[in-house]
Amino acid sequence: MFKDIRYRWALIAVILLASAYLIWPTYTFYSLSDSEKSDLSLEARKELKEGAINLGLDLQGGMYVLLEVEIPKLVEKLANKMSDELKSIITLAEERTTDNQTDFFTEFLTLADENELRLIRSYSGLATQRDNASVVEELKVQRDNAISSALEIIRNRVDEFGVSEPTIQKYGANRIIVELAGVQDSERARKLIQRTASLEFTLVLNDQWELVLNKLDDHLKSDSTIIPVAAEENNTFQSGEVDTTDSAEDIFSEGSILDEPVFDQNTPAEILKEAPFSGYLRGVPNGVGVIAQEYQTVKEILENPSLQKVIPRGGKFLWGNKMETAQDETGAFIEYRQLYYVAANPEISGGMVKAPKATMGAAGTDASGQWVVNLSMSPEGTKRWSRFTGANINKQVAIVLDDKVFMAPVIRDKIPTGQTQVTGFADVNEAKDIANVLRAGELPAPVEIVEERTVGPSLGSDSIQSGRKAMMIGLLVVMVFMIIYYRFAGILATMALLLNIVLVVAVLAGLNATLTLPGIAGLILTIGMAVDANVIIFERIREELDVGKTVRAAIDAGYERAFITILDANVTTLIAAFVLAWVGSGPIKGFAITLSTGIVCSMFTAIFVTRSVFMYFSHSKPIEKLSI
Amino acid sequence: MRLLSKTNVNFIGKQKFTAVLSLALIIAGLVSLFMKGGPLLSIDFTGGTVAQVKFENPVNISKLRNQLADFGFRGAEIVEFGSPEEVLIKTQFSGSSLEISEQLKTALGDTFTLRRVESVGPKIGKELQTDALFAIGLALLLILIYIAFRFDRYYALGSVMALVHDVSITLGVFSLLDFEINLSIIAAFLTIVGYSLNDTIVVFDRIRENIPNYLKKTLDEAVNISLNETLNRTVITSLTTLLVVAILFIWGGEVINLFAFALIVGVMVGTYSSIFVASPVMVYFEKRSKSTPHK
Repeated sequence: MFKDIRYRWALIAVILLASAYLIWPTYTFYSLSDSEKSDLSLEARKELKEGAINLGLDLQGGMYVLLEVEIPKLVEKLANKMSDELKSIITLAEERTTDNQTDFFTEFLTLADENELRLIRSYSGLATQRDNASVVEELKVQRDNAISSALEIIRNRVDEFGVSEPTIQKYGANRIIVELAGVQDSERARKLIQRTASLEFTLVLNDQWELVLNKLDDHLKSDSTIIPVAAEENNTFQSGEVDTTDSAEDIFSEGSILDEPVFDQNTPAEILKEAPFSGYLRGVPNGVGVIAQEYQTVKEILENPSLQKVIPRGGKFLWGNKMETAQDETGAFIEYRQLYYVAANPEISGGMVKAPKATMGAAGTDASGQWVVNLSMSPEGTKRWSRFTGANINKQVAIVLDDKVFMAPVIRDKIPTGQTQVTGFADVNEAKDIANVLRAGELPAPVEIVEERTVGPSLGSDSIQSGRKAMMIGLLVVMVFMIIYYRFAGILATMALLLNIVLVVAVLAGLNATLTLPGIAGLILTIGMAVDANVIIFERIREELDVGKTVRAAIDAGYERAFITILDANVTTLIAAFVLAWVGSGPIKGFAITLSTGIVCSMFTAIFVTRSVFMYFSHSKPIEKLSI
Repeated sequence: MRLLSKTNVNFIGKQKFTAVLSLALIIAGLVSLFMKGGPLLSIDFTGGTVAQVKFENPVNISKLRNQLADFGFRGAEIVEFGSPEEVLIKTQFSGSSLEISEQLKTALGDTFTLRRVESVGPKIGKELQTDALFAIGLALLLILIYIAFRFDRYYALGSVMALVHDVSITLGVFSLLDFEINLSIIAAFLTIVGYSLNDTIVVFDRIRENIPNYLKKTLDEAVNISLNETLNRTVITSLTTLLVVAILFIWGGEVINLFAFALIVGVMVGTYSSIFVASPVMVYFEKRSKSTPHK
């Protein structure tokens, strides 16, 4: 079908349109200024970001950390009876693991069997079966739990950096990758990641909201210096009625403020005049919250030292662990952060919580068919828990990890045995997340940083600058060379080259790829290598012309014969690139992806597109002489 | 315009000279590698910490070294990096980049900015080493299989010999110049492998095409004709590629400087090897197989 030139033009047009469509979000995203970006709605921004090419940490600055859960330490901690023999086996297994680059558990099991050590003696609480293999299997389950718990802890903390899209993912069996784009204070990030987790259960003081809010409002009215300047400027008046009588009591009346159409807008200045603090608070589905746009402002107010003194000694403010969304009555999604006022002294601390597990509620109970989390308590915890739950029936208790509230279930009854069931999860994932949070208290996973790479933002932008410069110069030099050397055909080749770059960028955007510095290098290398296909073809056409073929026959023969050569030659480069993409990580992967994309796209642009142009000229009227 | 008009060089006839040249280059590299106890590996592979630090004023490196030695940075390696204001400080793995920056602050005050810190634990370094060797081995193996499948095993032998030649010479050059091998250099090696092969295959393809046309000529002659026919293309492609990697070397910034340098060496060696290593080796094995009765 590609004998007909119209089909060729059509295909090229379709590909160009598709490229434009794919590149559009990237173009828009990077041409918007920061303030324009923040003006966009949440969904619009997210959509744009998802469609755009991301910059790697080496280009935008940021921090890459590889964490490892120290399995030998974990295995040591899990033992309820430690013997010298076990200790020496753990140490030996650890050494072997490092030397042979093998799995710790395999070495551990082999060593235990060799030494005829019965592991069940040291891990009696863990396994139900008594052979060593089953005990090791159970230890592996514990490792997985420790990793999940560490993931949950880190996810919770990273939030403090306000990084828009942190990457926190499991890597291999016992490692976690954390990528924080734009983090400049790597010391703080490091400390935060390595800090021991603190898990607490503490009473939610819903009945004291009014009291504390009035105090805060009064204090703020008397001392206006506390309110961040930005807060004043942000106020924009919205159309529609503004209720200026909003005060502490009103937040709780009529359930939810979701009914107000202006929910998603910043709080009007008149309200703040009357209620400088409580004006920011809105009723949300499960309590009190602050809309996403005002979260930073309110956070700053709350952290102000002079304001801290006004908060009654027995209480403190804590934020929910993440932004939540709710729908207002117009159906628009609203992002908010829940705010809790809780007892300053926690009732239960992490070490007292034992064996949390997400499971299906037992048949015949209220929780039948629902996901629940069961946990038990240490003897000390059981005593406290029993007294505490007995005294606070129908009140909420907040589950707090690292000063963030994950959930605040209502105490239904006195719990004398420590056996506790938490209900109210939407799905299995929610339940598992909470189980992981609870585990953070029982078994702090010994986590170690094994690799860290931090790039300052200034180096990143320098890299972008020099990469862009090298690319422009490279492109220019190659284009000039090709045009001088091949004249008309050279112009075609440079067109193909430009098109190739457009296609590569489009494919990268389509793959939602990350552009790294080696990635830019790969793109520059592609410029040099992509013209190769045209060089092969043009040299072949010249040879065919030398043998005395007509222009049209020489072109046909040139493309025909060169095609197989180009294919063979490119496949080998692709093999190398694929191996790199597979084995390499981060920046190296970025290099492999741009290089291989460049090669594949060059096959299309250098062969198909240039030939179409040749066909157009040679088929419309017979050419005597070819400018090549 | 033509760079080279019809050439008729007896490339295969020069194989004694080129073999000596190649061997000399490889041996020089090997001797350097041997004397220095293997390639100079970066912290990516040995574990350690490297900090890129920018000062407000040009740095007196020996003074800085003394200053740092007083603060427990003994044995730290300090080199200028890109500009007189910027240095690279390499130390053995201390477990924390936090410590590094705090110690730097006590030693030097607030006169600097940390532009980049990389620290790799010894265990990870070892793993990255294994991964890098695995990647190179795997790439070579896959390429060998592909060429054996598309051409035949003698072509495959020729091309892989050329690749080994290219990588060992580049490695030798790095050792002679005391340049470090880091992760991105491994990527450069694999790119060199891909590029050199690209060159080799264009030649091989022509040989395969020409052999039936020149049945009356010897294998040497047919290969020579093919090499001459593709010479223009080989030179031009190498030229455009060399141009862009040279530009990358000059303007691409300090961070990818070594990477670009490896590519410059690799492209030159790769071009040379596709003419003077791959084809002669292929011819040698092809002839040997024909002279033995069992084939």
